[in-house]
Amino acid sequence: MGVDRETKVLVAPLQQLLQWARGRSMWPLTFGTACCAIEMMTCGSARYDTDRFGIFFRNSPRQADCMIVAGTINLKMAPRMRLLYEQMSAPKYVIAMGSCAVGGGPFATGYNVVNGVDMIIPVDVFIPGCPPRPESLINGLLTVMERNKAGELSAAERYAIANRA
Amino acid sequence: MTSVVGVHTITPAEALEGLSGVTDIEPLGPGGMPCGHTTPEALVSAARAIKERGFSHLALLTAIDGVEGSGGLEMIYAFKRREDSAMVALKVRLSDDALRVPSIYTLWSGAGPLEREVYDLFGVVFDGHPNLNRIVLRDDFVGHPLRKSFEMSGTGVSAEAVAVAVTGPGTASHTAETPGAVAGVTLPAEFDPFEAAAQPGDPALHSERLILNMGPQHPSTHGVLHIYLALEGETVVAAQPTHGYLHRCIEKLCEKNAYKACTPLLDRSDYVSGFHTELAYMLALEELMGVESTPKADYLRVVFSELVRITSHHTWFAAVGFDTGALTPFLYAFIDREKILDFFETVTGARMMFNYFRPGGVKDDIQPEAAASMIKYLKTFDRSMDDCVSLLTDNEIFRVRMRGVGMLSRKDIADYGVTGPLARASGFDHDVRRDAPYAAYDRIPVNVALAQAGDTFDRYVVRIAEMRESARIALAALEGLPEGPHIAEGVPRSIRPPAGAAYREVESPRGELGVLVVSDGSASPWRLKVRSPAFSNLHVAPALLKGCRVGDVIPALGSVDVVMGEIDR
Repeated sequence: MGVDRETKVLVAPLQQLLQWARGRSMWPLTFGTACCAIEMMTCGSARYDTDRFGIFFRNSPRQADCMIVAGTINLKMAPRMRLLYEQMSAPKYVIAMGSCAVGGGPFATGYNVVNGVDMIIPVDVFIPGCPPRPESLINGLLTVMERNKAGELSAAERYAIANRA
Repeated sequence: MTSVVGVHTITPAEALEGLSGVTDIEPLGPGGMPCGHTTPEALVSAARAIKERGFSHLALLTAIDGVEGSGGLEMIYAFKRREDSAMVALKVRLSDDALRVPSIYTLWSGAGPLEREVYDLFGVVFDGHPNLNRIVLRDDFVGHPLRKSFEMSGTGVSAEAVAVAVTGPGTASHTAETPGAVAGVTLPAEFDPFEAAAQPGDPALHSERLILNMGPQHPSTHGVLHIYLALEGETVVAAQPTHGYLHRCIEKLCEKNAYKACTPLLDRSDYVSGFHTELAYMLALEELMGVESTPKADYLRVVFSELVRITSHHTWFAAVGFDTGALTPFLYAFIDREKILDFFETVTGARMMFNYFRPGGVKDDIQPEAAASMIKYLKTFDRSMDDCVSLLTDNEIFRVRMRGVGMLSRKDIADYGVTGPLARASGFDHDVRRDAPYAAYDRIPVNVALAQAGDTFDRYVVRIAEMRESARIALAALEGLPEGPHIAEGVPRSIRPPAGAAYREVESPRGELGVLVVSDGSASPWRLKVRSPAFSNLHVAPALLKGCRVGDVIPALGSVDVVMGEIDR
């Protein structure tokens, strides 16, 4: 990336520009189902203030870059979660927040609980905790942004490449 | 401190006397309410008579699978007199080959959803019920999970089952026009929005009726709630909530866990105010075990119950701002909420999932410094509350949005079994803390906030007054904190209460929260039932939303303050 001396125009490969932009503003979809959703809300509050990182919660999957699965997913919710994921436009990232989204949590042996959302959609970042502290979620979001800056592929892209053959 | 009761009031035991078909009246567990046994044939007439004798609030409706391996199951109904919180119960024994009982839907509209829950989880058929279908589980679920004969695999749901749930039949039909085509949900017949939508529209509007799906992923449903709205132009002609998107098998998992291991699961049932579910469970367990908590523990329980009530109402306050398009109240409310969560963390080690109450007391004593800083904070609470409410209470837009919206009459409240701030905003002067004191509430007076109009604004007023009152109670409890141990001596490490049942209620931020524990003498509960106030409060939605404009649905629903974890369990 650089400035052309004659025209004073910023010149950069498009990919690099996109990475620069995405790495500085990550808009997650508010997909809170359970207890973790309260901690996710807290992230946006005055003490944790995710806005300073360029993280704004969006209510529509079509405007979101990243889906935070905050809470337990059961068999009734699972098709909805997948529908929302499919409604997001690429590139898209998924954060599994909390023990339930990671692996079923305390309800893993139950008859109705999905043992980890990676059974349904590709996950980029797993955040353990029941519920994780807001700092953990911010760390997870920053991890996604760092990967974006570094030009790493998302889990969805890696999954697509692996299944291309 | 109990309410004044008229001279012609009868005792609970008398309420069951002389009813045809009601026999073997005995207390439900040690020191519990009187409980009569009846037959399916006599149930409806007995329930009607009990209702006419003043016990007009249906407090509990659930089933217990056969104790002592006797097969069959027992339906249990508990009725409450709102004036003084006196309770009576009825039991109906059913054998496995005839799991049928008449519906009492005609006596209480609120019984309808509760009976659907029992049908879903136990397989009991309610004769005369207008729409008996699954309420929390998917329609394609096989079996009735709370029966003892239903075995869990031990490794949870298999990958194949998840794949079927996500890609199986019905899942792609999100936009299908046939009723109930959305994956795994059958529509109820009562207040059927599809039926309502099929009616011809108002000719003056030149429009057709329309079905609007709200949720389960919606920023203002306060959780994974799904509501069908049938619309005539801008007006809601019928509404029907559908839930179960957060059913996490808590009650079944409790039956597989040791008594102490149930507390963390119950924390996660009402995740906004975990202390209340914990407390109701501990009170029931103490009644079963014959253990008394220490005076200091009583006071600490009051302190934390009230503080968590404040944080729960803070969350609601933030949401009510969002619902009406104001974002600043959220920022203000969560500043204070964080301060209180810091106290929780100092004393219990956790911000939200406390696991702090124990049979006979509390896990850890409170440090003097923590108590001092809590007192210091609570003394300034009114001032920070003033900052919060100054954003909304006198805001003209907010008042117009809230006044006269989502009216609930006293009749609806009684009919649907609504409790808590929702009932108090319609003039029902009832609060478990004052009427049937538990923990240290008999030593600390509680002023119950009341309002009369029964609209969304009055619910706001009641909750704000409750927050200030909670801070006052917590302060009084901290300042009067007695010396002594924080947990009773001699409580066994391994809990095995004698066989029996106990039902205890507390006043949660959403209303009467009860826990029924049935023990068979083993190390894990035979049955653990959470009486969820939000469940009954949510199912008043058909009455609450009918006639609302679409824009008013959100504030009206927000004023119910639902927590889906507690409703679905």
